[in-house]
This record gives sequence, C-alpha cells and structure tokens, in this order.
Amino acid sequence: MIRFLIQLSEGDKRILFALLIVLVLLFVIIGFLGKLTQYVVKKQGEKIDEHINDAVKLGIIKNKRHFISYANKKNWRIFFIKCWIPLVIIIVGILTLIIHNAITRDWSYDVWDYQNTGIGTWFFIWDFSDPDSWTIVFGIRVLAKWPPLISAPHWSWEAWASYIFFICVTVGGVWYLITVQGVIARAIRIHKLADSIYSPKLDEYHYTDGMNNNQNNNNPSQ
Amino acid sequence: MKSIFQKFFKGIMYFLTLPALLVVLALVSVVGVFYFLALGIKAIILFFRGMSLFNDLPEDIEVRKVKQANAINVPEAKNEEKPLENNMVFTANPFFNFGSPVKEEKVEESPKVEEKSINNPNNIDVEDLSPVPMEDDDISSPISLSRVDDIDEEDNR
Repeated sequence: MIRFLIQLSEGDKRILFALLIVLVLLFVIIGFLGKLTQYVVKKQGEKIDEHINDAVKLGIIKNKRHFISYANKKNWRIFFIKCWIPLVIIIVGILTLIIHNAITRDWSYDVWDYQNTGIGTWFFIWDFSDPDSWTIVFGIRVLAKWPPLISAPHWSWEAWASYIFFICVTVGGVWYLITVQGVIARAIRIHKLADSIYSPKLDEYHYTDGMNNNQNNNNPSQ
Repeated sequence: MKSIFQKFFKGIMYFLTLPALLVVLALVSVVGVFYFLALGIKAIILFFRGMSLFNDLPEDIEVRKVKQANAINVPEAKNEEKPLENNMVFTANPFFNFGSPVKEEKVEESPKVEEKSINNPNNIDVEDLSPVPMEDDDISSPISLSRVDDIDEEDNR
C-alpha cells in the first residue's frame, strides 16, 4: 500500500484550492493587462507613420536600410520632444530637495520617514518585523496574522520638501516611462514596415497578374 | 471558457517574459536620459548661437521640393474645364423615376430689358428701325401706304 508523505486535512485542501483559483485569476488578469499593453504599444507605434509618410510615398526612400536610418532619426527626435517635460519635472523635484537640505544644512533629512520628515507620513505603515505575526508552514515562513499598525496617514509640515520630491518624481517618472514605451513601440513598427514595404514578397501575387500586365502593355516582344 | 484559458496561458507567458521586458525598458530609459542630457546641452549652445537643434533632414528637403513642383503643376490642370454638351443640364426629378437624374433641355432665357435712359425713355433701338412687315402688305415695298390710309380713317372718326 502506498503511503503519502504529506497528510492534508480538509482545511488545508480548501486553502490550497482557494490559492489555485486565486493564481488562475491572477494570470488571467495579467493576460488582460498584457493584451491592453499590446494594444497601447500598437497605437503608439502607428504615430511614426505621419512623420515618414511623405518621404516613403514620394519615392525619396529607395531601400530598407535608408528607411530604417531615416525613420530612427525621426523616432528619437519625437522622443526628445516628448520626454523633456517629464525629465524637467523630475529635475525640479530633485533640485527642491537639494536646495531644502542646503538651506537647512540638514543632509540627514530622511525622505522615507513615517513620523515627521518623510513621505511615509502619507501611508499606512505596519510592523512587518514583529515576530508574533509570523509562523512556519511546510518549512516556509508565512504571515500568521496581520502585523500591528505603527503609523496612519497624517500631514506633517516638516515633510513639505519630501512631498514635492515624491509628487514630482512619481508624475515625471510615470510620464517618462510612457515616452520610453513610445520609442520602443515606434522602433518595432519601423522594423515591421521596413519588411512589409521594401522586402519583395509573393504572398498576394497570382500568376495571372503577370499575364494581365503583359496584355495591357501590348506584349513588348512585338 | 476558451478565451479565459487563452488569457491564462498568455498571462503565464507575459509573467515569464516580464523581467526581460523590464530590463529592455530600463536600458532604453537610461539611454534616453543620456540622450536627453547630451541633446539638451547641444540645444542650449545652439540657442545662444541663433541656430535650431532639429534642422530639416535631407529627405525632408527633397520632399518639400517635390511638393512645390507638384503644387505648380496642379493649378494648370484645374483650369481646363470640360464644356457641357448641347447645353444639357442634369437634374434630379423627384416625380420621375424616384429621383434618378433626367436629361432636360435648357430653356433659353428671354433677353434682358435694358434700363431706361434719359435720352431714350422708350428703349427704342435707334440702330435698328426696320419696319415690321404686315401680312397683307406687298413684300417688295418696305413701307405700306395702306397703313397710312387706315390711320387717317381713324382720325376722321
């Protein structure tokens, strides 16, 4: 008779089943987010078309290498025009913190502090280092209960420089990452278009197309 | 159900490729910051020299030349209008063939009445004073004497 190494109680089986459902739902949500990201990247990539349209349609760009070189230059120009505002916002946030520290001569000013001077004053802070909150299950250290709360959101006038720094870096950072995503999206689009426009492909060709062209041209051999 | 399973497997694929995508994003971000700093310094220097950072690329200059050449040719083609044939006008007649276009003959407009002038209040065309021929008159003689007799008879009455 085979003996199982692990003996599971009914409660453990229910917990495992619930964890499995949560895992499946999590991956489904990640799949939806991935598809949404793909759609956004496709739309961002199509923005390069209006900048290279004229040069391609008027026949000024003759081959794939020239197309990629020209389109990449346009791509990075668009990136510079779009990215300077978020980067300036980040620089303003960093400069605010540096100027505050220089004026108060307090270089130990903690931006992440949760009591007086940091951005932690805006968030709930729990004591995850409390040993009573942890237990060991199957040799793995997991949470037994929710840790105790040590700080609730509150306003602190001393932390004004941290607030400005946090807002500027968050807004500027997210905005900048979106522009970086745009660069990557346009680069992908450029390589796809270079293949479709300048590479000879016979996917949509039928042998009668050549015959029709010869009839219209009145057979050049005559 | 099928789409949920597809999303589930795509989710696993995105989860596994996420670190690589994040690395690519981080690399391009760092390159972008250096690119911005380099071009920003160049832009400031060019600004004080009175120059622009992003000059037209050679391809853009060629595009502009081709467009200008096309713009010169297009207005000449527009002036050559096709004349109407036999003065036919196409109109949509709602009472015939449920609105399909029907050929109608263009009716010639009556000649315009000239404005009255001080010297010629009755609008008599002094250059054209040919008499109106009567039906009973002799064609050979332009002026009919019988008409004069008729006028005398009317006066005597």
